[in-house]
Amino acid sequence: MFARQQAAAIIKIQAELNTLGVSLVAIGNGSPEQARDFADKFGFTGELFVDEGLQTYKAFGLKRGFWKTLGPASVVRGFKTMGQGFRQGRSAGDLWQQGGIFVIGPGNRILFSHINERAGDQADPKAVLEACRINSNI
Amino acid sequence: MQLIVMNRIFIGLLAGCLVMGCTAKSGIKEKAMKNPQMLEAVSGLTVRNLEGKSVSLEALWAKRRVAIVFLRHFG
Repeated sequence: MFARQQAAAIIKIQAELNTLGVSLVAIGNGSPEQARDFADKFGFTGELFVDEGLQTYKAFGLKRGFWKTLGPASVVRGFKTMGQGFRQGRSAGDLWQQGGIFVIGPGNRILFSHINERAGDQADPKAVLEACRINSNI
Repeated sequence: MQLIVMNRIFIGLLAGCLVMGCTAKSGIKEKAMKNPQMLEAVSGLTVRNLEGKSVSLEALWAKRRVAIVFLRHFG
């Protein structure tokens, strides 16, 4: 359900990112076939890659753990997310892995970073867009 | 089946939290911008595209700006 919420949030700002000259790239931890199903189901038209071994997740310092997914704060956030109409679907990938978002480039320039502390924690899409705007003339 | 179990676990934990009066921290905490040296850790790593081919991670942002989203899982 949080994965669906995260997908909906990024799809919502995709057009504006493109206008700012920022390409949207998503990395998931399922198989290429599951990624394709995800893109079809949610209408994701950005570039999509997979990392089943979670190596890139570890390299970026992203969180992982049972309590990161099902801890009290995540459960309460889950209740709110259900209130927004999102439901838990059939999961494909590592249930305990958390996500994050980074705006990078050109080259090794990090313009924005957010590491999700737990399930339900996500970057503010407005903050992502603002970071892209500020750095749009570089 | 997996779906039913997941939903039952979630509802059970939710009920437990409500009983204990647990509350989530409000607001979204933005992380400080990380040092570019952090990207040295990803040097040489690859991801697979939907055709199953390996792609260099660094190549994704070498010549352009990207918003790179790490999804929790596909679901």
